[in-house]
Amino acid sequence: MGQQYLKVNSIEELLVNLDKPGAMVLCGGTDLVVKMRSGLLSPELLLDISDLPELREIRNIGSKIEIGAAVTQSELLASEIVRERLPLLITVLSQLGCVQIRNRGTLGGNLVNASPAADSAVPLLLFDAEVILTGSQGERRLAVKDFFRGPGKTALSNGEFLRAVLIPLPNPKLSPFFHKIGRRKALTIAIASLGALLHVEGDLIHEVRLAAGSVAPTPIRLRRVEERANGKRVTASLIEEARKLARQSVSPIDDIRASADYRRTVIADLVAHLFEGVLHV
Amino acid sequence: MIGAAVLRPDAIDKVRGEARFVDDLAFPGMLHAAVIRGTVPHAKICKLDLKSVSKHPRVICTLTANEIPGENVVHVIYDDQPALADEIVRYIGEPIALLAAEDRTSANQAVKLATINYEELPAVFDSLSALSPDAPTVAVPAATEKAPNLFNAMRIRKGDVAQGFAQADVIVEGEYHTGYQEHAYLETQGAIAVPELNGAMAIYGTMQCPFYVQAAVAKVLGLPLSKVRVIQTATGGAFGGKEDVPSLVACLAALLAWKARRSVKLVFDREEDILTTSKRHPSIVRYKSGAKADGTLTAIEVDFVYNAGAYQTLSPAVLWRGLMHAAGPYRIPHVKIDGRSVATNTVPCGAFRGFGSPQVIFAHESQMDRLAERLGIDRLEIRRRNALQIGDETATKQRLSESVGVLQTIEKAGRLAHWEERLRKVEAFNAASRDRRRGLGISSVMYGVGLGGKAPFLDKAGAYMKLEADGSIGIAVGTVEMGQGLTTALTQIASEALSVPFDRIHLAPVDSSRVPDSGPTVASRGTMMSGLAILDAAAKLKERIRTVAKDLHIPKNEIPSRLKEIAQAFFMRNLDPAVEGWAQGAPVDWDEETGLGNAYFVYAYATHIAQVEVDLTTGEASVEDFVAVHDSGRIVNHQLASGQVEGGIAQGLGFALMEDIPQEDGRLMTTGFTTYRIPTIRDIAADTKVAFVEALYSAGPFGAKGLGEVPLMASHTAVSRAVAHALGAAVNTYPLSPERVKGSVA
Ligand SMILES: Cc1cc2nc3c(=O)[nH]c(=O)nc-3n(C[C@H](O)[C@H](O)[C@H](O)COP(=O)(O)OP(=O)(O)OC[C@H]3O[C@@H](n4cnc5c(N)ncnc54)[C@H](O)[C@@H]3O)c2cc1C
Repeated sequence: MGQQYLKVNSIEELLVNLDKPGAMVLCGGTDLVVKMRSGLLSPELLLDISDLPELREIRNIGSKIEIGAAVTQSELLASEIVRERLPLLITVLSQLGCVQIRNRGTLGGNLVNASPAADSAVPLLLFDAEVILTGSQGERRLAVKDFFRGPGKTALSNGEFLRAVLIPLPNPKLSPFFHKIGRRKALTIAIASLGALLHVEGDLIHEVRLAAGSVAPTPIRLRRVEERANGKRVTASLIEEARKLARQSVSPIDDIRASADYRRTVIADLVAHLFEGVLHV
Repeated sequence: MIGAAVLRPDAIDKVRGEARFVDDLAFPGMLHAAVIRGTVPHAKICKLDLKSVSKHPRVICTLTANEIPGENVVHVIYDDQPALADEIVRYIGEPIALLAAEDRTSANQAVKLATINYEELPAVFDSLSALSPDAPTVAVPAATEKAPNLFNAMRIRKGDVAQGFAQADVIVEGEYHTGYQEHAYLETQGAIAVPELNGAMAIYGTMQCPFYVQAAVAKVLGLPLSKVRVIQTATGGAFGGKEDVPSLVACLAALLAWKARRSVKLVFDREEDILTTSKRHPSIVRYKSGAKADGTLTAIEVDFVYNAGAYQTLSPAVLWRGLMHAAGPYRIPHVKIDGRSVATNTVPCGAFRGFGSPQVIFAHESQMDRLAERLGIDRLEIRRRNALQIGDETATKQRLSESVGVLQTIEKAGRLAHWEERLRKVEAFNAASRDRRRGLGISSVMYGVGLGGKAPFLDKAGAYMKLEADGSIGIAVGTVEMGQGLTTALTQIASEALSVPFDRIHLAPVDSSRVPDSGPTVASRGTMMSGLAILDAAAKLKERIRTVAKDLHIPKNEIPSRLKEIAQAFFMRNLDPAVEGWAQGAPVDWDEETGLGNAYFVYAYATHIAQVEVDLTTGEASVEDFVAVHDSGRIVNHQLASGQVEGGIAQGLGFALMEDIPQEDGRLMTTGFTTYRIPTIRDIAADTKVAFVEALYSAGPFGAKGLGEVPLMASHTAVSRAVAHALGAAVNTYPLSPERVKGSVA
């Protein structure tokens, strides 16, 4: 049961060690340490990347923002550019865990942990963000939607790690919406969540993007609803169709937090509620 | 001094992290214990093989039931619970064997090396199934042939309910369900057993009832009581969870310490604590109420069943309090109440703040609202009309002669909440809102202070008090500080009684060898009973001080400022500077056959009003506003009392809205605070008003009664009724999760 801990000082050192058997990346540890303690995981070599400068930057590159995987949620919440250009991310992160968790938890950790309830996945899906994966063979980019492969499963291959997330700056006309349903108001894992970016004029939907958490094996975009609604006027029948399509788009499970049935209904109703809101401003 | 907000004597140490909780303590050569537990709900133990456990290089010893030197029981009320399961395991998590190792990690590893073979027996998990005559027998001994698992059945018969319902213009009936509630104290259970010379055993631990622990450890070790000394360590919350369970924890540690002849520490981790220790009894309450057109109650008929778990522990006492509180703070001429507690193959339930009353309060207050609705009477008004007053008779035919403040709590709560205006505002909001509904809930409760007519022998308390040579005062009592502020309140009482400054008085940690058995620190009795014992001691000490002062020609009015001089005289002249105080509860009586009698010597009261807002789309309910008004007689420290109320509101809100432990075939499905949710600061109404009406009790210290449990009792139903009001729908089951609430949205 030997367990080793190594604080890596460079990407090279990380890559060399990542190939070793039983090696695992440790960042904030807010998922990993919990799983180790409960015996779900027992890595032999922990590679602590939380202080790697290359992974701790938030950079504005033209029309995109690149966020290093080891940037903590608290740092994101304090970042000027994120506050200005990605208000949805701020809304979401301010509801993730609690202050103590956000001081340690990172964007990278939240994504690689790949929980169906990972809160930051919802805005990243809505932004059409990409992940940058680095391995000894080099770097590749992948849409966030293709990164999640199932509960706890990602597209990372052996020896690869998540270096950064690349977010195309959304049209500022898209207003953010996020509703996370939990059993209490803070420090709660989503029973279900709905996020949206919505650009309407009067009752005309110029563009809508919808994503949901905790209602499928991975966080998902609700494309069929989007396709039905984009460019349309909000009417009673559109709302009902959106409700139906949202219901059909999800595949939730029963668990200790709630039933599949509730999750299906509540996501459908939240989608309908979002469109109803357009009619009632 | 009485009523003042003083700095808690324990505040600084706790804030600085210097208070020593049980897990902070170590003794030379101390071992670490771990418990080998049953993994099936009901089974015969065919084989218990600890060879591999013993072979673990760090394990010092193991212990099984047949090695117990005294009796294999955890003494609480009935001796039905073994310290270690012998032939049969009756719930998942029941202790079967013990081990002690040089360190905790090894102890926890070694547990996994035990081999236990079972022959599984049919098991039963819910109280109604367990009541059927052909249910597997869980209770030891079987209760009756027809109902083997009927632990306790108790009743009240007053007047003639048939006649009462015949007089009623309206009758409403309802069935109410509540589930487990976990105490979620910050500090988990733990004890250290330290062998002392001459075969004696000392127990250090986190607890509410040092004298229960003393009795239990003496019994399991076969020692005289005088050879067991119990020292309470700084205790990080209890809420009833440290009433009976520490007896079990201490017994297990003591058995290993006895065998190893070394100190042994046993501390549960959170998962072990949640899964294997007591909780609030799940309940089913059927309630029928009748009232006249003007709202006057004529009769109630109540039948309630509590799931007790595999052993009795405190269930008879919990059930009795439920019985005594099922009618609420109202005048009701005809009363028929039946309560039953039932054995099942689940973790034994026990004491939890409110002690069997919150379940029936949910029912009685819901019924009041439904009567009001049917009769077209305002909900506050129907409570006002039926509220008990001095001279009235309770459901047990006790005539109330003093200190009945319930009506004042209702009226004051109504005023502080602007009840009628707020009702109109809520209606206006609801008329205008498409997707949100607000609601108001009101809940009034009464609480019998102290242990009452079922166990009057427990309502006593001692105090030891000495005048030190410098004029400062040392005190020892037998009730404990568990975070509630007892040390502060008692020091204030002593300070007032002796005219000695607050910071010149020190209360020693509770040690059972210092004072006589003072009963448990439960039933909201600490301030009152130990306060009375301190007053008794103070009167005796003052008498002696006066005699010496007279001798020294110190005039009476100069005694406080010249106490040091007087104390010096005690010292120089070899005078006895120590006294003992004693307090007994006023007489109570109760007849088992009719359920009638003077159940408690006095009652505390409260009325809470909550405003909630429900999101109709998601079913999320949030508490927006709260008013709590209490009558606990004289308030000894307003700040601490308000803190108690605020904490109780939070705990009740959790019970009503979010706290829940699903159980599948006897297995509890929440193992920690990720899945067992208690409220956070965000869930508590930003605007919470706490106020008191002080209906003084002549036999209490400076007129004080009890407070500790009452806030929780009142708050949960204020919240759940507010949700019901918001939805315009029945709310009969806790917790009101988003899913359940959405399911009720019409
Ligand atoms: C009390 C509590 C509350 C929480 N509340 C929420 C919540 O509300 N919403 C929510 O979504 N989550 C919540 N979480 C989960 C957790 O905090 C987040 O998922 C967090 O973002 C994880 O980040 P981390 O840096 O701590 O990850 P770690 O625990 O360090 O790592 C998580 C996983 O990702 C891997 N990993 C980390 N970084 C990389 C990388 N760069 N490349 C490759 N692999 C990597 C690790 O090997 C591990 O498998 C909560 C956790 C706790 C303990």
